[in-house]
Amino acid sequence: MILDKSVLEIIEEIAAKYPGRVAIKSQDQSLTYGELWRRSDQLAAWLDDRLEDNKKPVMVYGHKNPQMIVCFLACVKSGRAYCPVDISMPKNRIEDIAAIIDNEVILASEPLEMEGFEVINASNVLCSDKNISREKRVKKEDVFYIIFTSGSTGKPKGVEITADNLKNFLGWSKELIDNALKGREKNGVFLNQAPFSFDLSVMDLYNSLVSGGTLLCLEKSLQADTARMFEYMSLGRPECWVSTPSFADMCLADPRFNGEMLEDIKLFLFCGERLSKDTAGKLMERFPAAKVINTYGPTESTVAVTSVEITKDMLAAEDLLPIGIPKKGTEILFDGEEMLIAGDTVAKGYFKDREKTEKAFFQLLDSDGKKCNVYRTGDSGYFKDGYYYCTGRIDLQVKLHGYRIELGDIESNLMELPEVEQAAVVPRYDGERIRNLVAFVKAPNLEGSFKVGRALRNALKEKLPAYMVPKNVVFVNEMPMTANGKLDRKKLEGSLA
Amino acid sequence: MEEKKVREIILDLLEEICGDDIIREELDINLLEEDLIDSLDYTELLIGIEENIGIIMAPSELTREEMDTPNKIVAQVMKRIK
Repeated sequence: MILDKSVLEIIEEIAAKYPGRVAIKSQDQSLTYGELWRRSDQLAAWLDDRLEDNKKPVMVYGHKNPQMIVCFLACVKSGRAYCPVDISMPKNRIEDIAAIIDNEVILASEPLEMEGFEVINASNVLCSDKNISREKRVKKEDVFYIIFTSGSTGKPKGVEITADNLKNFLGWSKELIDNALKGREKNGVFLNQAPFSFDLSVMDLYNSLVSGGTLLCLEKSLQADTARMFEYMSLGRPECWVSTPSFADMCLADPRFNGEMLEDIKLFLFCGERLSKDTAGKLMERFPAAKVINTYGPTESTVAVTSVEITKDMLAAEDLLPIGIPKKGTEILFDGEEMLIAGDTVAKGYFKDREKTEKAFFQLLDSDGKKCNVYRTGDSGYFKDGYYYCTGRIDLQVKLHGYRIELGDIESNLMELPEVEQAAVVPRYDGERIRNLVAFVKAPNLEGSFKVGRALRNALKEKLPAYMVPKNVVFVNEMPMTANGKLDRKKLEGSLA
Repeated sequence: MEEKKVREIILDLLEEICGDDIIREELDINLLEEDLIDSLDYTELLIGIEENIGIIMAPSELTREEMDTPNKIVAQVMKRIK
């Protein structure tokens, strides 16, 4: 489906039709569509007065306060891209990003001290009921948002997503969600787990806004308190769940997490990490009325570009869970094992970083002779029987004693063993050299002894060549998670040092 | 060097090489059978012994079976100190 209006036009229409409907909800704040539209208009007018010809992107700092969304819309209404930065980011990273963005004004919904910048608390800006001209809005090829991803080395990279990228992404994802939620209430509730600085949040935030839904935000503090979080979730009655698989695993660790607690859930949408059979299988068992959809895509191609509904047959199959088929307007190509994404949601490039942009992006002519952006994902994968599969990061391939080893391959084999719920394999370094591999395993029903570890290693030996079997097995109660809700590999690696 | 000190050094080396503190708890654990030590590790162990205790042990003068548990390794080193 192609959206016939711009993203802002659609939200404007909904705000006019249903001004009293709640757009954004957090633990102790909520914001209606009417307020969202009016406040963001005012702030846009203020920004435009304040910044005049300065059209640089604007950093928006905070967490899950509904004011964040007011700031996002205000920036794009005034013709400036926004760059969300979450409170969970370390100070020096925030400083790096502020320096790269290089705009004297920063919008914030939480306290922030930043030398050399003017930090504006959005809710303190006194505005007249000034309007901002529609002509000013970010459109088409203009950058809509910039999200920084952690480069494996050095400075963070700001991915530039244009208004068209976002519109093309939403045309596809809205249809995907609408189909999965057939017969849903018009104003469905979307669950938001990811911080806004992680582009997984674009999936829930904008799909909610363009369908007149309510975004139910889970704050960081709430995610640390399962009992309170469950209570808040069950009162919020979400229909569409969007999170990382790791976050769902954390919830699944509690038996209360099921279709009785969340009786309106009709859809689980995953992105950002590999979805394991264990996670998908448990969700299908505990939420028999809900669909589980796996999606795949890097930030550089606007959240996600492939999707598939997980079936029982897929759980029983030998392969990993597929990532599905690409959306219309996107093609997946291969360069060796590496997957390349070509299509209408591939980002412009990295903000003010020509060198890295040229390394990762290039252009091709599509079958109609039109120029099309291509991104090198760094993910390895394959195509089989109608579906694409992603096997892992190419940089998760390590060389040990001369053998090239895919860590993800070992992990999926470990997770197929009975009782193993989660597994992560990381290299143990001796200086620069990889000494050996260590498997971290979450298996609450197993006794975490050396003997049991040996039994797991022996079971792996039946499935994998000996050089791929990790030397050590470490049992953990919980896998560490990053602020974005992904498995924290660096922390695991660090624990071996 | 006292046996206590030698044992401590060897267990530290083994823990680093094997990546598991099981070698402290079970001093008769068979390092070869449990895949805790391979030939590269074995060489590393001998170098570690030379650097930390000052005893040179050539791989050729010992069979693997004489060095396949933490206790046996300590005993072999002690034999050379005396």
